[in-house]
Amino acid sequence: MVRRANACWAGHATGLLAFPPSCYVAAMNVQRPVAVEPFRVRLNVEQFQLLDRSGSFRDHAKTELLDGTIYAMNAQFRAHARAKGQLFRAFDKALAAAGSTLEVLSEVSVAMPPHGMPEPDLVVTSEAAGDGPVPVASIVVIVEVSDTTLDHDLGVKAAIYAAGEVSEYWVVDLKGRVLHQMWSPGADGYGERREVALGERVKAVTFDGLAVDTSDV
Amino acid sequence: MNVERKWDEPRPVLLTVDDFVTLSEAGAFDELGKVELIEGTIVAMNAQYSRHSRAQRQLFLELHAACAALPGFEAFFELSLRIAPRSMPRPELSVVRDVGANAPAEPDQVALAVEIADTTARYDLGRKARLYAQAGVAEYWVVDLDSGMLHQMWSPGAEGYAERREVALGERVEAVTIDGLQVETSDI
Repeated sequence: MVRRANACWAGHATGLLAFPPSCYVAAMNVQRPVAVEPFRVRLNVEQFQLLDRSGSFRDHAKTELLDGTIYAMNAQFRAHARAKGQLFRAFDKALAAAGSTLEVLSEVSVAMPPHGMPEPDLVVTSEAAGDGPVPVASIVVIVEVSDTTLDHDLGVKAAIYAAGEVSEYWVVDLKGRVLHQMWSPGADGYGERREVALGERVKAVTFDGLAVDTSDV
Repeated sequence: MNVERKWDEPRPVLLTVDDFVTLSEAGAFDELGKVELIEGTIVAMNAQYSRHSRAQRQLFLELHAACAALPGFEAFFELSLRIAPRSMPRPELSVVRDVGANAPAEPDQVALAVEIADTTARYDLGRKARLYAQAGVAEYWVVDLDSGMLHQMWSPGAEGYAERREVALGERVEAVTIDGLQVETSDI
């Protein structure tokens, strides 16, 4: 553990602001690692919400807690917002066509305790009703729309959703016109993936009968 | 810093001293040992072994004794140093003037900050040195137990400390910027 924490710290010291996900996974098994060298403290969901309530994030349009680190996004522009709306409608139709009672929600906080509270672009959940964040266990598919954030969505976010055992994760790359579909989550990320051209009908791998028409996106 | 990047990739939020104090008062760090805010990131260290603790104690006793002859100067163990807006380290030892009755030290009150490096020399000589220099802490010592050297730095500036010298542990060390402050390091 100490060695791993050091490796993480070295990464930080060299100017990387976030540590690679591999650093977190090792630390996750240990409640209170014994470290004689400095290690980064990960915030938990309650601490994140405390800072949120105290106004710490008022300068940011959107903040997420990703494995103990708070991330900020400042602005969302049209290409991203429009694609998200189109995908939302496509998912809504596809769920209705499949006769499913699941719902698609946009920009909702997802509780991934103890160190995660992301706000994915779209989630398909069995627990859309109720107060508070969506429990991660209720989620069938998470979708992120990438206009300028592809590396982050395929990297940090994929690692975190996989570690949270979200069964399927889609990243819609607007610039590359490709949809990255990932499934078989595990501690080392998603075990399986494929790429589908945007515009096609995309079938969920892990949810029978859900086929999303992306021709409008 | 990088305005182009600002609107693109998500970026980690750097915490402020106020955030750090809010979390601390809510008990967020109760299970951790020593916790510092370093340039917006919370950093912890929860174990300290005998060689390190002994060196820290010996040097504290020396600094404490030396301060007895220097009116207005006080030696401290682990006094928090508030470097607004985003850092709140806790130098292992410090010599401070005019600190409030119940307050963290401000950089201009710290005449000398000391870190004892058992396993952390690179960090203490690198990032910590930059942090203290940029905050204007007048003098900074790193006691490197592995190499048996005391690194003495002064003339702080945006680029770090402009002046430095090394003294072998065991010798008498004189502060460069505090008239009359001398310590023996033979017991360290």
